[in-house]
Amino acid sequence: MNENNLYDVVIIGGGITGAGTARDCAMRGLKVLLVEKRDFTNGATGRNHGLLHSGARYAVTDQESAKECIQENQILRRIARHCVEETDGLFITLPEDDLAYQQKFVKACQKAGIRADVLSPEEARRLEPAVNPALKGAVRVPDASVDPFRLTTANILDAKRHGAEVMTYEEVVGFIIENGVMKGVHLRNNHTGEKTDIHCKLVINAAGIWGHLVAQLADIKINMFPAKGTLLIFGHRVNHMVINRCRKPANGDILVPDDAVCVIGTTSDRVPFDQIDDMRATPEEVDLLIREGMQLAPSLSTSRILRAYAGVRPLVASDDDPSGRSISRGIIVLDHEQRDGLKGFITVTGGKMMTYRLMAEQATNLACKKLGVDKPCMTATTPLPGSEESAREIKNELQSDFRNLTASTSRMAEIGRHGTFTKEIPYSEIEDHALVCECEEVSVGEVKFAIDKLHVHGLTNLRRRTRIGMGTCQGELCACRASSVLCQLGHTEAKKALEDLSVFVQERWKGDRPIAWGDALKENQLTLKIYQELFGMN
Amino acid sequence: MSEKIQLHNLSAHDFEQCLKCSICTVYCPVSAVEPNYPGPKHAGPDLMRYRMKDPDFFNETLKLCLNCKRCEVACPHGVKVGDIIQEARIQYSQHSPSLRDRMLANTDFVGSMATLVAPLTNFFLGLSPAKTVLDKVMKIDHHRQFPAYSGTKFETWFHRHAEAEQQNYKHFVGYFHGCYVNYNYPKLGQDFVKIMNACGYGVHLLEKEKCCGVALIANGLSGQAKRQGENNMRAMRRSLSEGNEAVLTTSSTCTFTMRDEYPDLLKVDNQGVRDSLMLATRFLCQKIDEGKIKLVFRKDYHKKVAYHTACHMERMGWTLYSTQLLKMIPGLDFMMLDSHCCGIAGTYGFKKENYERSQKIGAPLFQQIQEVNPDYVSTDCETCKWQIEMSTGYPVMNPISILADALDVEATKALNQNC
Amino acid sequence: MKFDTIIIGGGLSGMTCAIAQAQKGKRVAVIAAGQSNLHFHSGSFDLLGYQQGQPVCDPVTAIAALPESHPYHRLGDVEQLATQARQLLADAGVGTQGDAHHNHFRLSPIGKLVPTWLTMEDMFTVGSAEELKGKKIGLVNIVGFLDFTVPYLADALHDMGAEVTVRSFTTPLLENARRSPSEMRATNIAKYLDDDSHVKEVADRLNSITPRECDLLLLPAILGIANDRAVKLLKESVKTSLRFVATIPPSVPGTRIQSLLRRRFQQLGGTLLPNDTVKGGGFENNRLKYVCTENLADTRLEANEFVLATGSFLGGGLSSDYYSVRESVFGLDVELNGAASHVDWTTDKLFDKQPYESFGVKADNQFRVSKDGTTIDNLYAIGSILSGNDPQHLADATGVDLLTALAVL
Repeated sequence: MNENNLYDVVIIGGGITGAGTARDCAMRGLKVLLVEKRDFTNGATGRNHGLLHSGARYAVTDQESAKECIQENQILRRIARHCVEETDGLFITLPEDDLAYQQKFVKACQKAGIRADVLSPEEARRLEPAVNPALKGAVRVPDASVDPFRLTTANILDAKRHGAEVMTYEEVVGFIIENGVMKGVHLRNNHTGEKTDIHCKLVINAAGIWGHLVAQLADIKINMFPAKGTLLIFGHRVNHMVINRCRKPANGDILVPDDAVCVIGTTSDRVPFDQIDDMRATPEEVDLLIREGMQLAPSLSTSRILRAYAGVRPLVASDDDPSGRSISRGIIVLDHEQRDGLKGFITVTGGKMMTYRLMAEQATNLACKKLGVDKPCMTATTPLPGSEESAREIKNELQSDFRNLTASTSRMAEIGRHGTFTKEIPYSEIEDHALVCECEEVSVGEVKFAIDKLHVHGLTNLRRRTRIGMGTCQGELCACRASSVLCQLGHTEAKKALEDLSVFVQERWKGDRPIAWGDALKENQLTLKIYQELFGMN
Repeated sequence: MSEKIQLHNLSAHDFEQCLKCSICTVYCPVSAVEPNYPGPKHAGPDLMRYRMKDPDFFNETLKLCLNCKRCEVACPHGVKVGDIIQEARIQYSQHSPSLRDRMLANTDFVGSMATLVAPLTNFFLGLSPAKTVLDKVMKIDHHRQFPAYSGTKFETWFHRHAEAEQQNYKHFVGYFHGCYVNYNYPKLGQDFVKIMNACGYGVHLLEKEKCCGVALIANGLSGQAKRQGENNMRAMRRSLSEGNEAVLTTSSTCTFTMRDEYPDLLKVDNQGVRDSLMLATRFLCQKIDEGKIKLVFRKDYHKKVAYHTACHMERMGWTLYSTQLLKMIPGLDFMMLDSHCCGIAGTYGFKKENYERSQKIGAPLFQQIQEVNPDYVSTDCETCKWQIEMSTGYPVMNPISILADALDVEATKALNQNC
Repeated sequence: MKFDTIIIGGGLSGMTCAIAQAQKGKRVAVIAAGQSNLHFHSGSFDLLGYQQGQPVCDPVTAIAALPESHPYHRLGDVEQLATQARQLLADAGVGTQGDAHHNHFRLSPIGKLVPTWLTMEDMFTVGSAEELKGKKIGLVNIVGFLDFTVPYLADALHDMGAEVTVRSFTTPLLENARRSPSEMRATNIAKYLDDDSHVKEVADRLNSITPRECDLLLLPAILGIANDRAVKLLKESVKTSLRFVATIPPSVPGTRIQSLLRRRFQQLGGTLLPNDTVKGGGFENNRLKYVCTENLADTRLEANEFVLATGSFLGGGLSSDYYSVRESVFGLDVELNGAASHVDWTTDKLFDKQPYESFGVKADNQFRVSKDGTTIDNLYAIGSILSGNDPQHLADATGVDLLTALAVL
């Protein structure tokens, strides 16, 4: 932190919205501090589909959203190359769906500027062999898959590069308000309990569903409702294109390929606020997702499920209907000076993960207006760090690294995950090649890089930055190995590191339990055999 | 919806059954000696998920795999780790086989040519300068002793000396002799015919037999292997339809290749053949169990035999048949060697770049054989025979040859006449 | 093909039973689907480690207080069986230290002290936490070996009052092995070092890096893959007292135990089918007459008695899908303690008692199983396929494996 703890802007929330806002503000010359109470992407950002919508899904019911989506889709493909996989998507019509909807759908897409090509069922089957062969219609749209962890990290790194400061495990527990003006925040460190005060000219509340509680700290009421969404991850990539259902949007009708896995989702149920910090998938949700997923790709019925997870989105009711029956769509920026008479505080919420940049732009525009700064937004045209070169270009530059064939596969995985940052990942020493996580090709070198540059305080952080523990074994042997390596490289205290390992393994179980049958049950018994019986953990 | 869900996992080679327990890595002979090899778990199920995402994750370190399938034998969960690796090589390798690889792999062609001028070939191959040339030019390691080529092919011998009298029997079997018997060691084939005839079975060769193709698969020529496989299946179907009760073999690798690698790797359909295609030792054992065949052994046969389980034999799970038969010989002092790969892995061990590794892999086996000091080592695989003979100096005999040696032919014939 | 006894399952339980029967002169066959859980073995055998969350001092006596459903209650003379088990292991080449009336502690791969009954000779044990006070311990690792959690072990030893010095070493051979990103594992290191000259090289290094005042050197268990020859040689060649600590799996001591048990069985004339799965069998008059396997197809394996030692879910003895849990081979009667759906098989907190851990086949006092309510007279179950044990919370797994294997038949 800087000497006077004085900033132009304090941004609350380390999800994609907060990260994107930090980037935009910092690029426009503002002195920024971003605070996140746990780890980046701990909220909805880390628990969604990983879908870069084309907007087609909203074309029929919400043209505005659709237009926003396709514009941002095209922008992110350019500025976040290493986070996006350009898979394209299919909207399929199954025998029980109404084929007439397809026409309406295509027209609406075209009106919103979304490319929509009608395909014959044979063409669709040829393009995507995993698709339900019984389909009677398909439309091809520019859906893509995006890695929200990488995207958030890239925004954070760019914000820092432009002078922003970023802190994790710092929670806002109160505001400094004098004479109806917000002048700063009271922070508490969630590891040490230490308290700090920060002063600033403006606070931006970008805390997702937790933004409701943050606003309450300032006695402000925003009508947010937590909406839980559950998803399932399958063990391998069954499909290569996104597969959607061509009908009115419903639960479980999107199957997205993500890196080496695929994800089916999602559901939407209101839950009370006291559940938002510990979401669990229910058996009913799991059942629904399996059955709906099988409709899109029948082979899911016999594919191994890796885990189930749940996140919570903020649904924002329009101000004049606090009962929540009429939900605002689209991006919401609240100027609390105008709305609630509290100067120095704004909230940005609503929207979706993939329109984060636009949300950030709107929030930053308002912030700049309030701070008297006149700079244009450059986030749409400036590539995010990591994206400056394509994977092929990076591979060519690092050609000599590929001479060691055995170590080269982890180098390739690094390029996929970190883009141009791969050049900063240690690779010259033999110790850097040693694999910590074999399922996901994560080397000691990559772990070193993550500790150095990516705010890693423990295994869960490491998992999000590198994919350790996200593979088939869900961290079985590698969690312990990673824990020991992290303890040594990160200079953590042994007891704390062991406690972290125990928490990590427990957290993996949270996502495995809802699907604990067949191979998943065996895998869990192996985990207990190793951690509880052999290691003596309890 | 009433249909059942998630009843079982189906995935290519059962790769999703992999729990990442790492037990396969303990039994991989290559991992024990070669740090450049990613190991079976990593080269197999681990990287398979990544290759499915992007074929660029494949690289040629996978050709260090011996295809011994000991990873599959060790796997408690039924994952076909070896198949995953071989299939990746077939699917993704851009490497074109060299002339040397083609020569080593085309045993039919090389064998035919070599037997034409066998004495010259054998002489030539035994000479140091020749070996040096093979080493430097062809990269076939100069330490490697080529098995001698026979002057007369087994097929030729059979047509001239045995075929006619096969009509005299009441029961029949087909015989897939394989390249080794045909070009290098017809005696094994002769031993086989001797035993079957003594048991009251006539032997028919296949109409047109081609090399089983195991070397072709290993050397990146799977297209040719597939064609040869289809030929062999046609020939066997025909053989079985012509009154032969089964098609028998005397080579564990050929048998495994045709029963399992054909459908699993080459997509050659062997339905209707597979159940009737087996090692001669299995057939004999089953018939003896059923009381349909009786064997009588010479009283003056006394040998100490150490049995070596070839990798593909262990994979097939048929060691039992060969060892049960050997144990039936009263004068045979039977001992079971620890199950270890001998290291040659067919054409693999001939290649200069692999030779040292092959010898390191086989070292524990060679040491145990020296300690046991048997009269013979017995094994069902011919390349194991070459490797053990060359590396230890002990003579190696196929169980069929040992049986033939120990058999009291007249007494056996007499007992089986009424069957 | 005919045998006296056929054992389905080649892990600790199956092999112990096989050896015991072969020693009685029977013709025994063992059918194993693959290698076993011994590859996760700690190097120690447990009779009973915990009761109601507390470490147990005298397992033989504490067994009496276990619930009726526990397999131990069907054993008869526990102490006598324990002695027999220990002897059987020793005869196979697995020498152990320990006392059935007095648990000692093993040091787990992450530094926990776990109560146990027998530990393989040369593995590090602790009688009580106090005995390490003031001891000077050299904790030594191989450079580049990630499966030995040095910071956790150092911390644990320090907590016990020892003075710990951490060292690492390498040799040209090990440095070469390290070139493999994924295969620098305990078992591969043990294979590289399975050679006298390489062991001597390691001994030289150890002698040169041992701190001047050192009571004990602790090394990861990376020696002795098929027998303990390399272990003994290293101990002879190193000046300081030397013991081994278990690593992250695959376990070298466990692999050694598996290898020694198999060899012993084959020496006694036993027949091993190391890569086969029993598909089913023929029952007649409440007896099992024969079994059929995947590889042997139409060859029937007949025997007078059969033993099921197929393990729990991990071993493949029990299998599950979305709807149900089954005994995998014959569809025998299973005890599920009232679980109605897969939701009931597990519980939220990972380290709480997971209901499925106690699932297993029903067996009578002679360990005979039943099918559709009828006892099968000559089919017995041993080891973790039995219902009622609780390996995680009681630390009784290897004890159940060994003792039921000896009590049956």
